Amino acid sequence: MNRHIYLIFALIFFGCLPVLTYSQAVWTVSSADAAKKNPVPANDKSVNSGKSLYNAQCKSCHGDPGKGNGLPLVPKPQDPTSDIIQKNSDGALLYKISNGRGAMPRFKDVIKDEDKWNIINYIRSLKKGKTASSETSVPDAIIQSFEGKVELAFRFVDSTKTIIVKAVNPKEGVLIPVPGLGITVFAKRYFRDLKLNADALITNADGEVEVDFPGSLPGDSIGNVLLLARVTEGVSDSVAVSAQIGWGKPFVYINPRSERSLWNSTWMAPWWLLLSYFGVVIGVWGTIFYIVLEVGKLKKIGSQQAS
Amino acid sequence: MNQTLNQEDSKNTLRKIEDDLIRPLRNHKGFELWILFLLLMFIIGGYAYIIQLKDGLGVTGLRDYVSWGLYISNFVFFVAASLIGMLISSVLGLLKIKWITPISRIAEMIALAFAMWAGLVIIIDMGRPDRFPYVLLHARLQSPILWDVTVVTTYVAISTLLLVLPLIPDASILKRRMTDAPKWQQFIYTMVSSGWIASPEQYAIIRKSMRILAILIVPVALAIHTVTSWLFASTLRPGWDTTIFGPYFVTGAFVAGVAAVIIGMYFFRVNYRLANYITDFHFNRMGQLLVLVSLVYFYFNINEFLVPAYKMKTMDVHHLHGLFAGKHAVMFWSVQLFGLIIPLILLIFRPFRKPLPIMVISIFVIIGAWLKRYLIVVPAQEHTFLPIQNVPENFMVYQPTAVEIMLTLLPIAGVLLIITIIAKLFPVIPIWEIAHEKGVDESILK
Ligand code: HEC
Repeated sequence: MNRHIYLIFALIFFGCLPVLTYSQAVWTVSSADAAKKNPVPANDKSVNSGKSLYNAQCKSCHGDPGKGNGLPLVPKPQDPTSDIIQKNSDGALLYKISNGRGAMPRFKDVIKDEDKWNIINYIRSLKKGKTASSETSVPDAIIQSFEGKVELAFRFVDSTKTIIVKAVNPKEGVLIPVPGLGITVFAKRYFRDLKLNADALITNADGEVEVDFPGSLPGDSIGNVLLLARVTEGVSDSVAVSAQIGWGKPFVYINPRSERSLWNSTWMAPWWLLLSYFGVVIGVWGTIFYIVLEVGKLKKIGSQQAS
Repeated sequence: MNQTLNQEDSKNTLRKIEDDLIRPLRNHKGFELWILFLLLMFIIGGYAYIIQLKDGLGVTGLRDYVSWGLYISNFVFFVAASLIGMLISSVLGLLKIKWITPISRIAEMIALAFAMWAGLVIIIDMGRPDRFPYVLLHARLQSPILWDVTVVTTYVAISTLLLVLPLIPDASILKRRMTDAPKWQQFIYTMVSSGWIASPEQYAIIRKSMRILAILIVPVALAIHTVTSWLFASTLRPGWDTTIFGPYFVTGAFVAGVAAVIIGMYFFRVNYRLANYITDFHFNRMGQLLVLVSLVYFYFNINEFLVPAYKMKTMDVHHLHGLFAGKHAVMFWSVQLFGLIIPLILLIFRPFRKPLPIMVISIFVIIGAWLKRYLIVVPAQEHTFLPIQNVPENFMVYQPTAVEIMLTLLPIAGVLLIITIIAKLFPVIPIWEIAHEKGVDESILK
C-alpha cells in the first residue's frame, strides 16, 4: 500500500516536471541575435505603422498596451509595456517575434522584417515614462506663446517629399526663427481640409517643422495639391500660408453624369434601355395603327360594293 | 362550323339567335334602379374626391412611410382583373378552344372596363392630378412607373380593338333590327358597323386583324402585370424584394379574372335569360380553368411565403410575423383559405361547378383577390429597411379613412357602369360568331 502511494507521488511529481520546467524556462536568445541593431529610425511614420500592425496582429493576445488585459494563457502573453518585454534588447525582440514559442506564433514569414522593426519601435515608444516620440518634433518641445508678428513659409524637399514649414518674426529686415509654435499642415479639399499631421507639430529652434507628404494623396489632373500651413497654437492672430506642389497623384475627375446609366437623366439612359423601350413601343403601336388602317378599309369595301 | 345550313334554315336560325340576344337590349326592367345605384356610388365617390382635391392627400390615411394604400391596392386589383381578356380570347382562342365563343365578349368587356379605370385610379392617387402631364413631359425612361403608364395605355388600346372588331358585324345587324332605338343609339350602330356588308374581303380583314391582335395582346398583357409587379419588386423593401413577383402577379391575375368572368356570366345568364347560350357546360369549363389557375397561383404562394419564412432574414421577420401571426394574420389566413384553398378544393368536385355554387365561390375568390392586393401593398411599407424613428404613431400604421374608402368605391362603380353601358348597347354574346358556329350562311350576317 505504502509503496503504491510513493509510486503515485512519484508519478505526479515527474508528470508535472516537464510542465513546471517549461513554464519557468527562460527564453534564451543567442548573443548574436540579441545584439542585432534596429536599422529603422524610430520616427512617427515607423511608430504609427508599428501601431497599426500591433493592433492587427498582436493585440488579440497581448491586449491593450498598459492595461494588462492580454489573454489568460499560460504562460501569459505579456503586456508590451511590461518589463518582461521591455528588458529584451531590440535584437531579442526581433528573434522572439520571428520564431515564437508555444502559443506565441512564429511571425518570421508572416510579417516582413522592416515591419517587425516598426512594431519594435512602437513597443519601445510605449515604455513607461516615454511618450510617443518622433524625430521631427523637438524632444522637449513645449508650446510657447509669442507676441510679435509671425510669418510662415514653405520649403519643399523633392527627394523625400518632405514639407518644411518655417515660422519667422520679421524684425527690421531680419527674419528671426520662432520656436515653440504649434503648426498644422493641411491639404485643400472640398468641405473640410485634410490634416497631414494629427497633432500640431511644434517648431524647433530653427522655427521649422517637417511633415511627410502622403504618397497616396490625389492631386488635380496633373497632380497639383494645394497645401495650407497654419499656426494653430502659440499666437492669437490667425497666421497661415498656402502653396501648390505637384506631388499628388494625378487624378482626372470624370463626371458620373457624363456616362450613360440607369440613374442618369432620360436621354442619358443606357442604350439597351432606350432601344428596348422605343423598339417595343414603336413595334406594338405600329401594329395597332396597322389594324386601325385595316378597319378603315372595311368602310371603303362597303361603300364600293354598295354603289 | 358544324354543318352548313341552306338559305331558308340560315335565315330562321339567325332570326332566333338575334331575337334571343337582342331582347335584353330592349328590356329595361330594373335597369333604372341599377343605374341609380351606380350613380349614387358616383356621387359619394365624387364628393370624396372633391374633399381630397380641396384638402390634399392628408385626408387619406397615407403618410410618409405607408404612401400606397387602398388606391394602389385597387389599382393592382384592376390591372389583375383586366388580364382575363387576354387569357380567354387570346390564349384559349389561339388554341382553337371552341366553347369560349359565347363568353369571349364578356371577358373583353371586363378587361377593357378594368384596364380603363386602372389608369384613372392612378390619377385618384395623385395629390396634384393637374401634374399628371408631367409624368410624360418629364418622363424618365428608367422608371418602371413610366413603363407602367405606357403599357396600361397600350393594353387599353388593344383591348378596345379586340372588343370593337367583333362588334362590327353585330352592329350592322343591330342597325337593321333596332330601328325603334333613339337616334344617338342608331348613330353609334352605324358608326361601329363601319360599312359592313358581310363580303368575303371584310371577313378576311376582321379575321386577320383579330388574329394579329390576339397574338399581340399576349406579351402586352404579360407586360402590364409584370411591370405592375416591378413597381414593387424594384423597390428595396422586405416583402417586395423578391424575384418571383412577375409570375406571382400574373397567375394571381388569372385567378381574379376568371372569377370575375364567372360572376359576369352568371349575371347575364340570369338577367338576360341566356341559359341556352351560357350553359352549365360553360360554367363547368370555367370552373376547371379556375382550378387550374388557382393551383398555379397556390404554387407561387408557397414559394413566395415558404422560402422567406424558412430563412427568416432579420428584415423579413417583422413583415412575415405581421402576416402570419401579427396584426394582418386574420386577413392573411382568411384570404388564403376562403379566397384560394377552399375554393380550389370545392371546385374539384363537379356539383360545385354548377352555375349558382360556382358563382358564390367566385365572389369569395374575388373578394380574396382584392384583399390579397391590399396585403401585398400595405404591410410591406410598415417595415422598411431603414429604421422608422421619432415619427407620429399614424406614420407607422396605415388606417384607411372614410374619404379614402368612399373614393375607392368610385372606380368600382365606374367599372360596373362601363360594363353596363356596353351590355345595354350591344349583345353580350357575339351574334355573328354564334350564327357562324351554328352553320348560318356568312353572307347574310349583316
Ligand atoms: C496567439 C496569441 C499571440 C499572438 C497573436 C502574439 N503573441 Fe506574443 N506571445 C504570446 C504568448 C502566449 C507568449 C508567451 C510565450 C512564452 O513565454 O512561451 C508571447 C510572448 C511574446 C514575446 C516575448 C516576451 C518574453 O518572454 O520576452 C514577445 C516579444 C511577443 N510575444 C511579441 C508579440 C508580437 C510583436 C506579436 C504580434 C506580431 C505577438 N506577440 C503576437 C501569444 C501571442
